[in-house]
Amino acid sequence: MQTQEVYLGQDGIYTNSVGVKQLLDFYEDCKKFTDCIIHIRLDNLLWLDGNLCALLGALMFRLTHDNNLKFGMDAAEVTKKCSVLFHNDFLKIEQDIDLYKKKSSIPFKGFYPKQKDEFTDYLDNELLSHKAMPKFSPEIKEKLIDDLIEIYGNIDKHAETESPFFVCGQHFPKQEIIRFTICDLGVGFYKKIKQIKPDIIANSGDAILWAVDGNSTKPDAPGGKGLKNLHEYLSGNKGGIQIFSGDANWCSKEMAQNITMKPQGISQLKKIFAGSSISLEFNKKVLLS
Amino acid sequence: MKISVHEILKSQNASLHDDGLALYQEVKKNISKQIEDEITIDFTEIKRCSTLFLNASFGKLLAEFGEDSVRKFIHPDSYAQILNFMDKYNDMWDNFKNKSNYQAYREEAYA
Repeated sequence: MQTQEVYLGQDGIYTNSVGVKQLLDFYEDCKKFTDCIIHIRLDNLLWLDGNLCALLGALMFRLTHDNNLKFGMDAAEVTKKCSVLFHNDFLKIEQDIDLYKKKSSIPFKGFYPKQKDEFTDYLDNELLSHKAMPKFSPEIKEKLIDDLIEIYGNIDKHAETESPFFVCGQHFPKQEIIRFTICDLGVGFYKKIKQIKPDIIANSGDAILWAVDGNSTKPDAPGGKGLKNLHEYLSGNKGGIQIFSGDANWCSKEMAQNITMKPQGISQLKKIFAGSSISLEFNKKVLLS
Repeated sequence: MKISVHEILKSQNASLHDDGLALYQEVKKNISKQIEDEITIDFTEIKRCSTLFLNASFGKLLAEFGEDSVRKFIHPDSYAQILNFMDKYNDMWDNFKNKSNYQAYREEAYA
């Protein structure tokens, strides 16, 4: 198999529209090739938000599936430039595990849409029980799991994909925040919501706002509060949510002071992401106070 | 009559909309036009239950058979191990009573 070199990105890849655009650029660069090995170069990269491995993993899954690509990285370069990929299990290692695992990482994992129980266990045992997380009361933890499961349910029911979805989290000790990203390779927010609300939904941005407002595409029973509840809980505790889907990017307005999750409100991504990426930010400082 | 949620779902998590619809279908299979006998919904072995699940099961039964019938004949049982079960159950009743949003969707669905 032939090998091609593709750069992952440059400077920092953060949880914002510029960072996501960089990962989508990487995807498009790789997409030019088929049936080959992509050697991922990290030369110009200074930082990658660990939680964005969910999006990176999803894009690489699609490339593997659609273009029959395999991926490789230089282990020494990863250690030097982007060791988070080892810390969070994005790149599996079987030796000296204690040396590489970091408490600040919430493991990268992929789940198929029917793996409800496995995903629930992950939320319970890996995300919400992570040492970096505030100690939630059983009631709050239960509500967060319910809301996250509802997001999962939408992937299972509405995303029209058999592909797995990917999750990953990262604790940022200096900022005292934890970010968690969940990314699927489905049809995104727009298609289903446009079908049931053709008069008021004109684009992906409208669809995201409609969903975040607590509306539901389920015609046969009330529901659809998962995103709204998460938005209220996280924003009410000085955290936030950011969503990328189609050509739109939405960030909860309360995040205006946060430099990495800007811009606030809806903005154009200037790229198309065929899927959805939802990043949650838990503000440890406020949640512990 | 007793209907086991765990037997229907083969899971300890009664969390999804589709899970709720599966319970709703099972209950429906066992009744004709009116509910005439008591039906116990058994939550033994269920560890987690979401409001979404209750909306799609009990909420849908409420919409179809009315509050009086459901209150009289359909009862959840063996749910002590499920955190906040009654809070969620009451939320489901509130969701049903707050029909404006819900009814709009139903009307669209059945139009």
